[in-house]
Amino acid sequence: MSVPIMTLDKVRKSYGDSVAVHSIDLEIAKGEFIALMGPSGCGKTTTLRMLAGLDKPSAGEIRMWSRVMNDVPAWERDTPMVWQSYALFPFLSVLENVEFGLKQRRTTDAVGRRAKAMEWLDRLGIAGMAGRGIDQLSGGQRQRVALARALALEPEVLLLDEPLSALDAHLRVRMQTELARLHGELGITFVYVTHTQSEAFAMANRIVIMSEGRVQQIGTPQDIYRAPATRFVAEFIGASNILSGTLKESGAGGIVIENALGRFRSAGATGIAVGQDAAFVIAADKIALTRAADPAEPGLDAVTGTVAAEEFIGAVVTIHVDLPDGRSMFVQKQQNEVGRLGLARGDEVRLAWHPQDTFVIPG
Amino acid sequence: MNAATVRWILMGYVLLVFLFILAPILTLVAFSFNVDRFPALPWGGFSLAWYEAVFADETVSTGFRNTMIVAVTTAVVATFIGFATAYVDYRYQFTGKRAYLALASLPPTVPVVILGIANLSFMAAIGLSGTLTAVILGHVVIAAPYAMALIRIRLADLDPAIEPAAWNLGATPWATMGQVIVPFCKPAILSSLAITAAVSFDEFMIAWFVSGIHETLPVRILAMLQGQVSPRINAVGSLVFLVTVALVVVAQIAVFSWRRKRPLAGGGDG
Ligand SMILES: Nc1ncnc2c1ncn2[C@@H]1O[C@H](COP(=O)(O)OP(=O)(O)O)[C@@H](O)[C@H]1O
Ligand SMILES: [Mg+2]
Repeated sequence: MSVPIMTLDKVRKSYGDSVAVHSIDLEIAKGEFIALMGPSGCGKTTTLRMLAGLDKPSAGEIRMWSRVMNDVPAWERDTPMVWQSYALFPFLSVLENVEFGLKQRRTTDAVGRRAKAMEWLDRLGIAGMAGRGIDQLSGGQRQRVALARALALEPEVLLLDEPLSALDAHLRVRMQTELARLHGELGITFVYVTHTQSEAFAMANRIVIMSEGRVQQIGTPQDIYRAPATRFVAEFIGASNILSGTLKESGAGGIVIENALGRFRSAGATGIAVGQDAAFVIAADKIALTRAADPAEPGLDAVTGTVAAEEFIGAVVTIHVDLPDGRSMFVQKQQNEVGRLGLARGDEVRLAWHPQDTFVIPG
Repeated sequence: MNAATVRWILMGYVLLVFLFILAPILTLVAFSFNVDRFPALPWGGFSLAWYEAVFADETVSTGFRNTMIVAVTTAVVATFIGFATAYVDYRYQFTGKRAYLALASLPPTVPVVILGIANLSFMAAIGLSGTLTAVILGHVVIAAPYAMALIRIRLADLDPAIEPAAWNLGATPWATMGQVIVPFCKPAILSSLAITAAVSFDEFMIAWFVSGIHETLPVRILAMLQGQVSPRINAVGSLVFLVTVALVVVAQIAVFSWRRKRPLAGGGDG
């Protein structure tokens, strides 16, 4: 990576005794759409506020290009933010809200300012609202004003803190598409905070998963989905089965984990020592489902169990299977694939997968 | 008893309470226009003679001028202090905040006689006794808590993200104060100016203790009462009442405008 546009170097933030962000290392490339994702209270907003200069790191360094930003006050930075509550100025009209940042810059006169603000309102499809007061707008319109207000500054980096969380589901999907489009058109860097997986996976080039003030994993949506690095990520993403056991072998031939169900192989390396607890993760859509009586396909690892329940969401079926040792796993399939098997509750099935499709995480 | 009856009884009761409070004042206003020297029925006839006498009386006009100077200055200073106190409460978290707020709200709860005496000895000690400045300082002390209370209520409605949002858009803290916080608080500030002026305008006790020869109007009225009883007092009283009511009405209008929706007109092509 060439010089990142923003760098967090061992950044920590504590409030008295409680630590909101432990020690974050992160490099954000120019033009990236990066999502910070994690459950509520994990330190996403704090991280974003530090990037904006609204909170000062207790330790570590924040750089923009190569400039250390720790002591640069918020009003001298160029990282406008879209707030969860929108934080629009209630006593100003829509147009005046969008003009606010330009007015502080004093780079244009009143006429140029107005033209620029109108241009952005137009771009976001709310030029007709320019004269309105904020309390005369719907949630979706406020969202657009908030975006226009930040983008009118034409920054290199746009910060967004759960910008869609106050919208209803339908609007959220539409705005998601629009944000992705804006990002593509503008070519600027978006740092997007969310606790909603679908938003991050739909829009981001790269996702940072956080938990309790620590980074759990940084990667593309693909990486995170296919190869969760920790149990937390695997559980948070929820798309995978996690089977724990003891690490029996680790070497050039791969990894072997053993538990009451048998011995399971996994590709790739791990820092876990032989004899330690470990778990392997297998994505629900990477599992082949057959009747237990059918012949097993060679080269795959497998377990057998009984069908416990089926859930239909659109064309995708989730089948929950109870295993002999009391655990359960789930498999996701297209409905037409499963239909062929004609499964019923209590039927014996075999779940099989390629060792290459599994990942080992600490137990 | 049905609901309508209850309503009528309640309305009657409220009317009675108002009558009880306002009757003496209305009597005073009525007799200020009476031609007779002594307030007695029957009504002798309409006259503006007592108002003419009041306006001709130099001690009254001087008192009125002093009162206005004190009221206006008090309103501005008390509102400024009240705003600053409320803003500190809004913006900062610190230990001892409760004590800070309690202290800032304390003055109106102290009996005015005590405040008057305290002001007298303090002003004498710092050599301000007998000046209008002393009256102003005394009035600021009792008026600032009202200003703080009003502005604090307003600030409680301000999204905590608004101020950082302004900083984030490039506004310095001072620019934010001028372009965001003060405009947002404007109705409360107007209301506070009117209320603190009203508090000062008819305050008697502190003014009586510290004003010396610079009598304010309420002090002058007492002096007039102690001399001969004259219907001029009715006229002065009516005027004081009018000003105070006007100030309170202004304050109320400002407060009600908080909730008023913005009109549809405005800049741009909306
Ligand atoms: N100003 C503050 N004072 C004390 N604790 C704070 C403050 N801001 C945030 N925290 C704490 O830091 C943690 C992370 O908060 P935050 O970054 O807002 O989480 P998120 O945005 O991921 O939900 C939380 O435990 C929160 O209580
Ligand atoms: Mg948050």
